[in-house]
Amino acid sequence: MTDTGGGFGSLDFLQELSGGQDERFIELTRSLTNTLYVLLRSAGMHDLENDALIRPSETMKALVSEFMETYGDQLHISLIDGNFFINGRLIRLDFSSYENTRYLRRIFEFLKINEFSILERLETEHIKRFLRAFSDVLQGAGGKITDFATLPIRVRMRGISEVDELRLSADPRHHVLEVYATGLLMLRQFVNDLRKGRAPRHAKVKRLCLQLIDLDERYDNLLVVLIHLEAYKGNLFCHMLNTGVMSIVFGRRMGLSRNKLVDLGMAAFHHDLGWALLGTLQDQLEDENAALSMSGINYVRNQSAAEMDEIRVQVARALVRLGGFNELVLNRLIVAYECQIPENAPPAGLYYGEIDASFMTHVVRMASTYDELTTQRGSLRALRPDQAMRRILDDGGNTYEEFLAKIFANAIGLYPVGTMVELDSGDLGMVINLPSDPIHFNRPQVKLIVDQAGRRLENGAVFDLSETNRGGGFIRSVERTLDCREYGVSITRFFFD
Amino acid sequence: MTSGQHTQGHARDIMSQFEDPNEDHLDAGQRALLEKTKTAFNELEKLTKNVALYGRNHPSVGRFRERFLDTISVLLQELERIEFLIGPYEFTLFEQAVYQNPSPEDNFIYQLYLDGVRHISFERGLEQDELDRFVDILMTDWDDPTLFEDDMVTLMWTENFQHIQYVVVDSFNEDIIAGDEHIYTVPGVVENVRAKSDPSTLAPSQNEPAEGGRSARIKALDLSSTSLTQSDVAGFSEQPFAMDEEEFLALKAMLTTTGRETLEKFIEILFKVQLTGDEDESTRQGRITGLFDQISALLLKTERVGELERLLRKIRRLTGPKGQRIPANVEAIALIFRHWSEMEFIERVTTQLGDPHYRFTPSVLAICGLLNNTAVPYLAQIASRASRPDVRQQIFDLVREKIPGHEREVSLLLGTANRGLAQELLRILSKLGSATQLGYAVHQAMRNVDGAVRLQALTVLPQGELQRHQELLFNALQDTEKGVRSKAIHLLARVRTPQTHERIMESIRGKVFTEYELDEKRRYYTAAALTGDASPFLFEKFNASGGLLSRRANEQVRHCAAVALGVGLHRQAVPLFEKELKRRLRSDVVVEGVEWALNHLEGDREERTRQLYDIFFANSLASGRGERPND
Repeated sequence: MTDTGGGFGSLDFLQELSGGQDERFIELTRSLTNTLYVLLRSAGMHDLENDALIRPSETMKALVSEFMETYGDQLHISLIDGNFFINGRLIRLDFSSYENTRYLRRIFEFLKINEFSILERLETEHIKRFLRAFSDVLQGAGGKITDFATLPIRVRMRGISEVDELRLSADPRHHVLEVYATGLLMLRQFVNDLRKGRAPRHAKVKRLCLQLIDLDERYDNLLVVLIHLEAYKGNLFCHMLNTGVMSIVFGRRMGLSRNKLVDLGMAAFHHDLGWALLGTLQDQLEDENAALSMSGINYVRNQSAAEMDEIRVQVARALVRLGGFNELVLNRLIVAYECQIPENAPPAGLYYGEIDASFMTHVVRMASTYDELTTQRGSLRALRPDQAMRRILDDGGNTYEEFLAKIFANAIGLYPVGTMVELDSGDLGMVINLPSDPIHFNRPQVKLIVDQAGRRLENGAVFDLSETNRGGGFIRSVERTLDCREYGVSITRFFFD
Repeated sequence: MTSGQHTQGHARDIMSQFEDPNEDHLDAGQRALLEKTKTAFNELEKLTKNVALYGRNHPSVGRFRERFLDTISVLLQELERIEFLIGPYEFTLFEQAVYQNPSPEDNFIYQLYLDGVRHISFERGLEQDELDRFVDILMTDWDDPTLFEDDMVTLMWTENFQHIQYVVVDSFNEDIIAGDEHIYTVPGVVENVRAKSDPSTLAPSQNEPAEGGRSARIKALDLSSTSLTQSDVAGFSEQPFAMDEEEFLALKAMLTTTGRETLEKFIEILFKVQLTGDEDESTRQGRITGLFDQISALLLKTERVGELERLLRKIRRLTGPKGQRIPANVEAIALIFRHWSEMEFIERVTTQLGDPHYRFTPSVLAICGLLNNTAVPYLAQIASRASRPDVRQQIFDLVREKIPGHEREVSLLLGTANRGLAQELLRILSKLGSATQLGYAVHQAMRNVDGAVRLQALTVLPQGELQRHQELLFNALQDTEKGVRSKAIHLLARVRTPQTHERIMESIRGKVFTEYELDEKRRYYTAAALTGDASPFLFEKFNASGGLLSRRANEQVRHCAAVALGVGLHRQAVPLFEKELKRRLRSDVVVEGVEWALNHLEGDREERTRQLYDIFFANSLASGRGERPND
C-alpha cells in the first residue's frame, strides 16, 4: 500500500525490493497459521496416531524451519485484539486463511492463551507432545494447556503490553506518553529505513501528525514536557518529533485550522529529514551516523556559511527525492530549504528576489531552536526551558521574525512548562501549565515543591501566578528560575511518574 | 454405531464449539436489524459497482447514493448509532457478516483493515453529503501518486466526519525491531521518561550567584520523587490564548502573504534542486519536465488555474539572481516552455473552454499567451473548442501574434480544419504571411473536403502570384464544387499565357464541361477569350449546327461563343451577330449572347470591365438584350 509516488525518479525501486521480501513473509506466515489450524483441528477430530496428522506435521516442520532460517531463531504467533501476528507483524490473510483463523482464534480463547511460540526447530515428537496436551485439555482431562510440558512449543497468556497499558489507562498522561513514545520509535524507524535504502512509510508520519493534533488541548503542557526527555535528544528522529510537537502546540494556540496544523506538523517533521539522505556528512565527519545527530548536522551547517546555498539545495533535493508529490509537499519543501541556515543567522538571501522566509519556517525554526537549546551539545550545557525561550524572545528580529517570536513566547510562556522557579514568597515550584492569561505570559501555573521554610512538600498546591488580590496586585511572582537538575528533579519524571 | 464412529462424532461435537456462531443466538429484533443492514450494504455494493462501470460523475450514481443513504437511515431510525466490526474481508454485526468481499485486490474492506480500522459506526443525523464523502474514500484510487502519504485513516480524518466514527488500532508494534536495544522500545522510552535526574553529570553552572545556605539545604533534600498527582492532572484545563486585534491582523497578513508566495518559492527551489545532480542530460531533462508536469497537473486538478498562470510567469523570471543570468537556468526554462508549448499541455489547460461559464477562462488565455510561438498550431487547433465567440477571437488574436515563423505549421491545419477555423486561419495568413507562405497555405487548404474552405483559399491567393500557382488553379478547374471552379477560372483569366489558354480550352473540350450550367460555361469561354486567341474555335462553334449536341446544348455553346467573341473584341463577328438577330427562328439564349457581345463591342473600357465582372460574379448576363448603344 505504501507508494513512494514515483515521478521524481527517486526511490521507487526500493518499494520493489522490500515488496519482494514481504511477499515471501506473507506467504510463509499465512501457511503457518493455516497449518496450525489444520493440526489443531485434526488433533481434535482424530486420534493422534491417525495418518491425517502426518502431512500437516511435516508441513509445519518445514515451514518453521524455513521461517527460522530467514526471519529469526524463534517464532511467536500472537493473538492481539482478535488479530494474529507473527513476530510482531500482522499476518496478511487471504479469505480462506481468514476463515481458518476465526476458528483458530476461538481455540486460543478456549485454551486461554494469546501467544503460541516455537522456540527452536521442530521435530515430530515436539508436535505430538503438544497435540497430546491439546487433546487432553479439549477432552477435559484436566488442567490448562500451560500446565503441560510442551517445549519447545510454548503457549501462554501474555500480560497486556506496555503500549496497551498506556492506551487503556484512564490517566491522560499515559495516552500522551503512548503517542509520544510510539511516535518517537516510528520516526526512528522511518529515518533508519531511509538510511538503509528501505521504502519509507510516509503514511505513518502523517498519522503521527494527526494523532498529535487530536490530543486533547488540555494536555498540551504534557506534550511540551516530553520535549525534555533527555535520553533521545540530539538524535535527528527525536529532533523531528520535538520540533513537530512544539510547532503543533504553538499552531493550535494560534487557532490554525486542522488542515493548516497538518501542514505545519508535517513541515516540522520533515524540516531536517533531508540530512538523513545526504552523503556530504560522511566526507566531513568520520562517523557515518553523523547525519543522524543534530550535532553532526549543525557542525556542517554552522561551518559552511559560504556554501550554505549548495547545502540548502542538497537538503531540499534529498527531500524531493524521497518521492511523492502533493500540496503538503510544497510547504514542506520550502520550510526544509529555508531552515538550512547557520544558527543565529537570519533567513535572508534565500531566493533570487527579495522574498522573506515563510510563516511556517519561522515557527519551525523557533520550535527547532527551542529543542536544540534545551539539548546538551558536547560541552555546551542544555539551557533551561526559560533560558531557551528568553534567547528566542530577546533575539530582537535578528534571527527570528520579531513579531512571531513575541507571539511564540506569549503562547508557550516566558516560563515554559518544566521550568523550576523560586517565587517571591520563597516557595519553589515547577511550572506545570501554559499561561492562562495571554497578556501575562510570564505568570504561569506553578505546583509547589518546597515551601517557604525549605521543606519538601509531598503534594504541593497549584498556584496560578496571574491571580490577583483585592487590591489588584499579584499574589505571587517568579523571583528567579532554577535548574531543576541541580535539585535532582527530572522534568519528565515529575510530570509522568 | 461403532465406538470409532461414536468417538468421531463426539470429537466433531467438541470441535463444533470453535465454529462461527450462526444467527440462532440472536433475538428477533437483532435478526431483523441484521437483514436491514445486509440490505444497506447491498446498496453499497451496487453503488460501488456502478461507479466502477460508469465513473463517479455519471448521472445514475446519484440515485445509488441516495438509495444507500435511505437504507442506512432506516437503520438509524431504530438505533441512535450502529457500529460494525471490520475484519479483513467483511463488515460484521452481532458476529455475523453483513458485507463480505473475499478478494484482497480492489477491496476497501481489506484496505480499511490493513490501515488499522476496526470499528466504523454511523450515527443518527448522517446526511447525504457526509455519507457520499465516506463512500468516496472507500473508492479511493490508491494508485494516485498524490496519496503517497495517505491511507484510509488519514483521509477520514481530513473529512472530519460528524456522524461517522471509527476506531483505529495503531502500529502493531511494527516499529520495534526484534533484537533492538531496550531503549528503543516503548517500555524503554517509558523508563527513560520516569528515570531520575542525575545531577552528577552536570557541569557546574556559570554566572550563577554563589550558593547561599538555604539553597544548599534545599539541594540536600530528595526532590527526585516529587511529581504531579492525579488530581493535579484532573485539574488541567484548556488554556485560552488570545491576541489583541493588532496582533491578529498582523498575523493574518503574514499568513496571507506567505500563502501567495508559496508557489513562487516552491518553483524556485525546485528549479535549483532539479538543476543539480549528476545524471546524464536526458535523464535530468526528463526529470525536470516530468516534475513540472506533475505540478501543473496538480494545479489544474485543484482548479488553481490562476496559480498555474503565476507559475509560468515565475518560471520565466528564474534566469538567475538580479543582474545575472545562469546558463543552466536559462536552458531549463527553455526546456520547460518547449515542453509546455506542445499539444499535450495545451489540451489539458484548455479542456474547459467549451464551458461558456468557465470562470478561469482569462487565466487559460493568459497561459496560452505565455507559451512559446511554437504553440501556435496547437492554439489554432483548440480555438474551435471555445464556445464563446469572444474567447475564440482572443485565441485567434494569440495565433496572429505568435504566428511569425510558424506559418507553415499553421497552414498544415488547413487541410483538415473545419470551415470556421480554416476561414479564420486564412484570414490571418493572408494578412501576415508572405506571398510564398500564403501560397503554401492555399495549397494545404485546397485539400480540405469542405468546398467553402477551398473557395476561400482561392480568394486569398496572392494576385501577383497567380502564374506561380497556375497548376493549382488548373487542378481547381476539375473541382467538384462549381463555386471553386468558377473562382479558379476567374483567376486563370488573368494569367494570359498559352499554357493557361490551352488548359482552359482543354476543359471546354472535356466531356464534363457539357454538364456545366450556362453561366459557368460562359465563364470558361470568356476566360479562353481573355487568355489567348480562340477565335477560330469560337467562330466554328458559333456557326455550328450542333451535330450530336442537343438543341439546347448547342444554343448554349453558340451563346458562349458569341460572348467570347465579344470579349475577345472580334469585330469581324458583328455581321454574323446581326444576321443572327434578323433570323426568323431565333433562340433566346443565342440572342442574349449575341446582344451582349454587340453591346460589349460598343462599350467603353470601363463598361467592358464591368460587364466582364458580371460574367465572372453573376449568374446571368447584365445589359444583354436591348441595350445596344445608339439604339
